[in-house]
Amino acid sequence: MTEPDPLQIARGCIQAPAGCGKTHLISDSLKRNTDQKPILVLTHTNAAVAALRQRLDKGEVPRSNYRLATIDGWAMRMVGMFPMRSAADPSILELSNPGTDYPAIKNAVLHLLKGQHIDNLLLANYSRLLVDEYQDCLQTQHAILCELARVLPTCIFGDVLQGIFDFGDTTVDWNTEVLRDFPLVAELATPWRWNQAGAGRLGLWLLSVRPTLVSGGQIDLKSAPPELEWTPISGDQDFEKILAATHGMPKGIESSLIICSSRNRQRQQQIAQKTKGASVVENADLTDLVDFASRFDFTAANATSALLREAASILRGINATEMISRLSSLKAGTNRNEATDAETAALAFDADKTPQKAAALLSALSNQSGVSAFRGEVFRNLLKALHSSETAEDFSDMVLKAREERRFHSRALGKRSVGSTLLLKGLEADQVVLVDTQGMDAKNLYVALTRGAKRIVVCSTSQYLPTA
Amino acid sequence: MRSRLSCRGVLILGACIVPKIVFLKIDNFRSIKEFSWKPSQGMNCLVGGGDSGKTTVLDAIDFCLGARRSAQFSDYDFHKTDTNEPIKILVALGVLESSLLSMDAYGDYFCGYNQTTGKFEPEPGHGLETILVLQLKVEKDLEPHWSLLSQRAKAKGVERNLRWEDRQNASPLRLGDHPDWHLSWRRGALFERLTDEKLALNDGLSDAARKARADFGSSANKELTDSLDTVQKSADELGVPTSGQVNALLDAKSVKFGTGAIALHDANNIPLSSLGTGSKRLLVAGLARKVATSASISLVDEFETGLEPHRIRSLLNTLGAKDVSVTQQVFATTHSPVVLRELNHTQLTLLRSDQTNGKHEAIAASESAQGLLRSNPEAFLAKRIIVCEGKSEMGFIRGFDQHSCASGNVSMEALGTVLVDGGGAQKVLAPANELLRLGYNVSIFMDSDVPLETTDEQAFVSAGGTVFKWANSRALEDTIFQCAAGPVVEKLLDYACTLPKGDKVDAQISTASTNQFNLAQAKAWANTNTLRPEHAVILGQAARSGKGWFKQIAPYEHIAKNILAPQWASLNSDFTSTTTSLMDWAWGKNDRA
Repeated sequence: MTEPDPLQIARGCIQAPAGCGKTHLISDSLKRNTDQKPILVLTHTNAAVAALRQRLDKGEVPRSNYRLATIDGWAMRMVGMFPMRSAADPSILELSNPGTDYPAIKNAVLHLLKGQHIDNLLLANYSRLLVDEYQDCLQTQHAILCELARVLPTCIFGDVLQGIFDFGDTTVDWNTEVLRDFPLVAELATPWRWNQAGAGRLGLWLLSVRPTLVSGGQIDLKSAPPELEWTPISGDQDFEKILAATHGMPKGIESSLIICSSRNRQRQQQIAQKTKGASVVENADLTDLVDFASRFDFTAANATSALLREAASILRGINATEMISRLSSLKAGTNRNEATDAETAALAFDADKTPQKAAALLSALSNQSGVSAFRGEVFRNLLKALHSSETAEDFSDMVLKAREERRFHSRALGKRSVGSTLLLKGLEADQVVLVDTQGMDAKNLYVALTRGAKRIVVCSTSQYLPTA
Repeated sequence: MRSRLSCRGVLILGACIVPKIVFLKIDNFRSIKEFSWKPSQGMNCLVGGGDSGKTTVLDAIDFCLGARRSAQFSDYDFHKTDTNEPIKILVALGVLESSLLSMDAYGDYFCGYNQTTGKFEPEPGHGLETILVLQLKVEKDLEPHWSLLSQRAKAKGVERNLRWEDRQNASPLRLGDHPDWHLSWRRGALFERLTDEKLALNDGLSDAARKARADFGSSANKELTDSLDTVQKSADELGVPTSGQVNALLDAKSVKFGTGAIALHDANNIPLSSLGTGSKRLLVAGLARKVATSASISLVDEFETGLEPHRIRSLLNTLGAKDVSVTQQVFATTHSPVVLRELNHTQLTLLRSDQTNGKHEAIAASESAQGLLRSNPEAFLAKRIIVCEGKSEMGFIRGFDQHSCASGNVSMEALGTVLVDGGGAQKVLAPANELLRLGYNVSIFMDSDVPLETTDEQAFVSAGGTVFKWANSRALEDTIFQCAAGPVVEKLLDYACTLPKGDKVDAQISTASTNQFNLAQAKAWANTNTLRPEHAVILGQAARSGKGWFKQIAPYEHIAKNILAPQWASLNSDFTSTTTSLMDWAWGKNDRA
């Protein structure tokens, strides 16, 4: 089957199963663009933009060939340029109330486009439109993109089985809406990810189970080629077998993604903490860190204890309770053993509660033998925010700053990364370990299975999935 | 040439996209205190009095849009040299091509222009022309500052000029007094822009310079033998090393060719830059048309300069003035009726300064001007115009004017008065009203036997026009015969008989008087000054019978100059009062402000 050419599609959809060369196809199309005008490429998240840009730069696609943005980012730019035609209050662009501002921005750009106010500018500025990850579109985003498609030749990419973002009922429906407005032109069918990893059989099997998953059936793990290993477990507390699976990395496997329940973040941290060398993949909002920053009071009497407890929740091998009692005996002079470096740092912070001293304490803690971060991203950003805070008042702003900077970087993964399907979607590793299949629906299961290019390990009570 | 623009049917109707000026506003620049104008997208031929600011308008466009990084301004460029008020020249560009439509560059600066209502909106919009508004501002420090105007960009605290490459594309082509520049191979010159070929200038020109030195050789030595000997001797005496000989050769530093060293020449190796001004301008305009995508707006000073009438037509053709679909925007000035005669009324704009508020205004000619453009283009170059009912009235006025000139007064032509043949009582009003609307001093001179509608006349007068007509519903001939004394009547009758149809005068008098009297009788009464008023009425009727005794320019000229004016004192005040006001008006004594 010859590959479809997105540059020849006036208005349509290319269905792109995971690992079948969609990004390569986009990159190649952009590189081939000979039109004087760039191609507008829209996707959903800043991380996706960063990741795609990295791929395009690596592929030496001239930046003048395309304009890459998130749908919302592009919308903000348009509303900023034409606030009157968008009938929008410009203050929504400040995003002081993200919950209402983002929807307002989308409605504003929709108003602008529906009014046909910038049709001529769109035509003059872009030769065509490509949209990635279309299955994640909200209803309003779909309406925006349909308006753009009225003016620009448009090719969208997506996969109904990868639509795992659950924003309630506002996500666009693939069959009744997407394929109605963007007729299916082609479906990619070469499992490049697995072919290149030397696991072509696995790739073909993953393609072969798609119809079953789409139609709501169960797949039989025993029908898979040997690159898929089923570890029967007795339940989610069967740590012996689960941890054996999360630690296992046979020869030739350099990286492993460990997928836990999406609903239970404690579970991800628990598995990460118990798996040597593993680190949790954090969500884009760094919720836990931001919460800590807003909660933490440098001037509070118990600030030292609070900081130590926070450290224990991100560093493996720290016992906060033990350390807090050691500090009291050190302060009272009832200690038998000399204070360790970490304890000295903790006392220094207790005496002078500044961000610098807090950073010193965290560094000292992490430098102890047997201590390592299982929430590396939280640890690094916490340290970064503390270092860049001149006073205690700066701290929560610096955390927000660190979070915003992180949005625009594609995420680099460690050797073992723990997360959920939502967090790991779009990422891939040599191996994927499914820890919790309980409650996983067909889409989440498909996304989880397709993260591993060479090897898949599934810990489940049943050989038939999904069980939900 | 134009293939580089991707032309989409939906966007472009007919021609390719080149930016055009949809609106121009000038403040405090030279002779212009304030001026706003929405020019047409094709030919804009500016006409106006000597200091009406036509060239200032062209200069303003050139300064604002020209691809220059700086410009020299002096205090004299400020209106009345008042440097406290900044010079502001604002150009709204429409019909933008894709580079000027770049949202990356100009997203915060696009505005909308409603072509139907002529209204501007702060953002582009459906059904509106997308425009960019460029302003050149010069303050007291004389530093020109170019920027795009936009309320929302200002609110965001950002500011920018057009990108340099866009300035180059939008830069107007000036057909001024020095078209030579474009005929050599220089950066930005049309000759250079015609082709993508790159001259290997450095190599070729350096070789040429070396060859020149070699060819020149030591040929100067022979002529300079004595001087060289002296130099040689002195050098030897002082021990200055010369390797034994001093030569006079071409200095390598002075034999150097830069760009501009290559120019166009004809078959006889005569540079095209030594063609006449008119020919050069014609050629440059032709070249400009070939690169029309990058030189869309032309500025032409004194359209007719150096061109014979038939070549004026060529230049108009070249600048697209005769095209049905508008491709090129041209701003021209002219003082030539030959140019005006070739124009469509839509291409003519009158530039006026309002004496009451000092503002300049541009008034577009309407369809009523079309006939005048063909028949009396001079009228548009005049200060005041008398629309005459016919040739009689024209001859009449000319005769009195010539009589006045003979006694040493300035002629009405010299004073800027033009006579227009209205072609009949029914036809005088339309051109007179149009000229009045365009801001000229206009009067109508006509008989009273077929008068204007009272309301029409009142409207014309209240708009500033003047109507000259005879008392008591008389025609010109009636007035003359009824107001003249016997000796004058006798001379008129004698003169009538000398004209080509003079042999019919006798019969016409008999017919008009139903055989009560004939020519001989009339002359006898006139001679003895016993002509009764009713006889004078009949003579007036007779004079108008058939094609009329005098109804041409030349006879009335003769009558006025040689018969009526010399006998002025003998004429009745019904005649002299109207004639006096008419001629005073013609000599500019009653101009409106």
